[in-house]
Amino acid sequence: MVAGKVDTGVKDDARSKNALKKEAKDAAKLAKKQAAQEAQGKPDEADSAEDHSKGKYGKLEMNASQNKVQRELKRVSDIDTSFANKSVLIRARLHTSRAKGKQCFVVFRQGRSTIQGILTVGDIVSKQMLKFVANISKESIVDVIGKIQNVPNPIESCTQSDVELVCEEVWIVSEAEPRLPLLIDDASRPDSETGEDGLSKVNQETKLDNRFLDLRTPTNQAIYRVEAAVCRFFREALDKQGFVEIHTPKIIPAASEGGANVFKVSYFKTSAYLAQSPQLYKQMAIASDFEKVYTVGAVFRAEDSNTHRHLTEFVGLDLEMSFDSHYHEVMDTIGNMFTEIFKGLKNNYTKEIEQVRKQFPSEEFAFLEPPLKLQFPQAVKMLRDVGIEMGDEDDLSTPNEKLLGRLVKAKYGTDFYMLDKYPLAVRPFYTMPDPKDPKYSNSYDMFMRGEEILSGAQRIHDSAFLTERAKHHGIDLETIKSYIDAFKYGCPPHAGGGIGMERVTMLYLGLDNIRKTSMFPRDPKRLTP
Amino acid sequence: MPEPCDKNQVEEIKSVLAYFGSDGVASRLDLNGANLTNVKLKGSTGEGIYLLLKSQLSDSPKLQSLLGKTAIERALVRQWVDFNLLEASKNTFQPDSVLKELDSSLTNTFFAGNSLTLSDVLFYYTLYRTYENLTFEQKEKYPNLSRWLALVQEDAQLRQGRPRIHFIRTPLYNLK
Repeated sequence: MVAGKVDTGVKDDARSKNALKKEAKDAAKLAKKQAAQEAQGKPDEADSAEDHSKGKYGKLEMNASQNKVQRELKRVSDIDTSFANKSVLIRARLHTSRAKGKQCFVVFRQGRSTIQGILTVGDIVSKQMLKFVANISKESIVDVIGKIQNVPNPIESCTQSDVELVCEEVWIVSEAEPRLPLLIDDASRPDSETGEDGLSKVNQETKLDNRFLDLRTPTNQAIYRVEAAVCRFFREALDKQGFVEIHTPKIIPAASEGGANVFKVSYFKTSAYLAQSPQLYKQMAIASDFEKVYTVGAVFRAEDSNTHRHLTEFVGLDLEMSFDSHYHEVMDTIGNMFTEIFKGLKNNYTKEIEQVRKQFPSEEFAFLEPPLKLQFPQAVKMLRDVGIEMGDEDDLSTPNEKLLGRLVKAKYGTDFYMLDKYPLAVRPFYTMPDPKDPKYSNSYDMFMRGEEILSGAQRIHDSAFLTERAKHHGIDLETIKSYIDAFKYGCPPHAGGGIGMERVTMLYLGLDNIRKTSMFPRDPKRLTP
Repeated sequence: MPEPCDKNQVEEIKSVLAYFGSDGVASRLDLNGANLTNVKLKGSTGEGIYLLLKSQLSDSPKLQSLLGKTAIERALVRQWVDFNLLEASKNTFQPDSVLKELDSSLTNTFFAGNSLTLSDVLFYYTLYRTYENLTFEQKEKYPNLSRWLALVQEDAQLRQGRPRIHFIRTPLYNLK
């Protein structure tokens, strides 16, 4: 706007000068508008000319399985220089397009792979066809037939960088609405690249609100494949040891652990609760002679914690195992199971892990084989040596756990370790006390990158002793009657533990928020999608 | 901001005087809302711990020895004392920018060179309250400053019974 007033001395002239300027501006605007309208709505000269590409492009009828067609779709990830001069058919998303004069560059995306497509007005492609392709909205699913040609300079922005697809036919299979709530490119951008040159990123809330778009990013495609692998290796490691997979009920009559953090649901004429853990049922399965069991299922915690590592609903990977003489048999089984998960991911998912680290840089996960095992008093000493004050029987606070993780990493070079012999006072009532020292218990926690991922212990399998411990903790025996009953008719000594699938994935990949590893996360503030 | 900040800063004044063996001077000071920057004698106008020391302890050999041996050292001592009184003593807890600046200036063992001077003495008291509240991760961000504090706090007469600040020599946080 005008900085200062220029006194021309004749006010009327100044006003009319401005009025003239305004008129000129308005006229220019109007002319522009008219030109745009003409370009859009009215058929221009190009259209009235003959379209020699008719029948090679357009919008397909909605697929309701009208015909069975046998044809070969190539995967974009497979296309390389060996396809030179060959004709291919792909079905992919239109990732981006850029038209310039008689040429149009398009990037097609399928999963994590992208390939550049090119259209040039000529014998095969008409002006109308080019215009049609340039106007296809982003994210639409298209069928493209074209010839592959090698490119002299690699196309850095595409995964299939040494080839491009010279398009001959382009058909819309499923059209996307033009206004996208978020752009895949923005959602895939690492934080280090945002802010400069006005490159934007998408904040977490928007991503989660439009999860079905956000999940399309190559990083998310990789993350959830890694998560699937965590489950797979968990199962494989335990199946090999003779474990049986069981499924436990999630609708339960009473709050199992700790009471306060359960969801209540109406159950016909009465109420029920959503299970906080499969603890009771795992143990019943042991008492029912299944010897070694594991279960993969939902866990519900009504904790009003809005942190980076808490969800109200997550997937628990739980296991319980009867042992011969000592609970370390179970602890070692669990430790080895983790080693198998880490090794499996490291050896088979390098591409996915690299993809994630491109957007979310992190240090590679380090682990020892066999896993590191420390005793609780050792951990207390390590903390006291650097000036942290704590009592022998105090639980580890979260900041202390994180510091301890750093100290362990510096001293032993591992991001994963097990901590044995926790103080009895800070563990649940069903934990077996240490036979040699009543201050401690046969319980253990396991940590990844300084954060707790498993809590476990030898359980009390004797109903009389269990009753005594429950009384000691001031628990109303009526509420846990069915739990104690399970041990009345003979139960082998057993131990176990449970891990959170999302947390393990998050910490293995070095991510900072558990919502990144939960497909449709649930927390105190989020119930959709 | 934590509450008893005035009390802490009065403690600092007393500690500085005690370091030079002149705690008696404290009774002649106007200690209401006083800190190292504005402390003055009752009924006088000159402000600040530096003026106070120079006027009340002009014949103290210890003070003289800590003002710097060479001309450059003396200039650096003045510079850092001024910086402390202007910037670092202003707040109960120094912001990251001040700590960063101090850290990058500590290329020698001490602030003014290779021996302890008045600037180190004043900085110890000013920075102690900040360092008490830093996490190990934060201390690792200022490696020179942390190294300096770990060194000077070994002087019992300087520390005067304050608990030692803990440092970890091994880098834990891979800070770039």
